[in-house]
Amino acid sequence: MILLVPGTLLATEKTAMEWIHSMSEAMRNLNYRGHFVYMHDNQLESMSISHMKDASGERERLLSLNGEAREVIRDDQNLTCIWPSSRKVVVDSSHKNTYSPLLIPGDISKISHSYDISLAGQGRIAGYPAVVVQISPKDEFRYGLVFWISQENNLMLKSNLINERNEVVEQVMFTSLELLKAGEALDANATPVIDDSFTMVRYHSGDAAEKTVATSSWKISHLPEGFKPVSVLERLNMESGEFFHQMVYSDGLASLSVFIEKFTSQMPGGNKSMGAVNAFIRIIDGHSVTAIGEVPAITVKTIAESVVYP
Amino acid sequence: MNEIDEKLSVLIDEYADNEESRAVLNDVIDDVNLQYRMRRYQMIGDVLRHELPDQVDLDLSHQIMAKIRETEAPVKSSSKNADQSEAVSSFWQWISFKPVAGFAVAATVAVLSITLWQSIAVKSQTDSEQNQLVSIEQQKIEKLAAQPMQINAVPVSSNLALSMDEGTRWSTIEDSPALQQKLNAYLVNHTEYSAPMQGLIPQARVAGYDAQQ
Repeated sequence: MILLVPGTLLATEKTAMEWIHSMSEAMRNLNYRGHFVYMHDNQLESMSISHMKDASGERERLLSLNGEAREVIRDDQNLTCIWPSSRKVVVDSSHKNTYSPLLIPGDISKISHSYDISLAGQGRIAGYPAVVVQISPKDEFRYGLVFWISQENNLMLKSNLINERNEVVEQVMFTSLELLKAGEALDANATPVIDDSFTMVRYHSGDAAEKTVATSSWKISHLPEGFKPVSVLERLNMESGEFFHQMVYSDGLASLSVFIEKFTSQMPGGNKSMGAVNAFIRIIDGHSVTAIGEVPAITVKTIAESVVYP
Repeated sequence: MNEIDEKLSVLIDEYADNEESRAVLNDVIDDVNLQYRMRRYQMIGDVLRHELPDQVDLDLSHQIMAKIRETEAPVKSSSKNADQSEAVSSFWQWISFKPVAGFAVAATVAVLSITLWQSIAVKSQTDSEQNQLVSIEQQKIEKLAAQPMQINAVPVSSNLALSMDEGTRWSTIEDSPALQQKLNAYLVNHTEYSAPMQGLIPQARVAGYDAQQ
């Protein structure tokens, strides 16, 4: 006899893509709190997270449990970051789409050309039985992902970002996770006490610092298979007072930007990396061309070297 | 994006002519929801792009007000703003660091942003009894909002940049803080227009700075 609780289905009864969609919905709509570890660059950090959604919208609190109790609070309007030791608070606009651990485009064909999505077994994370879903790239120009999704409540329990050498470059894994009871508030324990000694800055610009443009005179002669232009922007460099270009490309899952601005001595060329993020800087006729994104080094290098001067 | 969203976006982009801008501004002033939406349009990630100066010009709002008085700014918005701007110091700091543009619309938007936030803050206090869903963090933010303005507001981005320099930041052959800063700015700009592959990671990156200290 198989007992099912609401939201629970055997792994075999849902496709890999259905699990991904269920996970995205659960992470956005359920109220939960827990602890997770975040691994990157051979470092391990532990954090607590609380997430709520009610009539007022979504709210999320992230608290670092190692070292300084840095706190990030996000709601539908603002992203508030608190640094207790330096007595700083900064408020910035929030990007709602980052609530979801993965945003799968409605048109699955957008990513099916570049990735294979499959069930990869079952596991157990943070005490929950989990189904493992693997998103494997079809070439070396994008990362792979592996998700462990709770079979009880569809929440993401663990995720690995896999590079082209099949190495885990970033990992998030819950060590405890529980659903909040109805009416239960976000956990206030262990949050930094904000007193009058804090300096608070809310930054605001009165003039337009960026604008979307239809096209750019700069062109990319070769894009890796699956990557399409998403948007072209002109941004204002506050130091020089001149606009520079940003061109955004995506394969439906991975994305990168190409920034082009007049060259300064601060931009030596070559490869740069930070965790899963890679950048490649190239100098062309007095301009620096920087490709940057959560993609392998070869991708940013290929695209940066394909930029054609108008 | 609905019609008013498009108008707001256009307004922020300074493409609207004066008549259209005034009409939109008047609508915004009369509608708290629009105030929030306008604030969202205007708030950008410059804090994380390290574009804040070391010194904050506290006279800036007055400069902008003077600029508006020199122009034919809409009566409704300018009068409201002038009244509310007196109370700026007791609430959130809306700090505009960029040079005051020579456009009446831009200046109006700047002051409007300062004063709109004041009106929002005031409203959140007067409506507090009705707001049963005020969260703990919102209460903390409101407490902060009651603090006096800081004259030498150290840019938080400096703290972030310092963390990046000392922590697990860009691996480059060159030990160049300027290069690190530039790449971080690019990354923030990129993140604004793309969904990360792992949604929790951006927040974790922020909260994870300086974890080794």
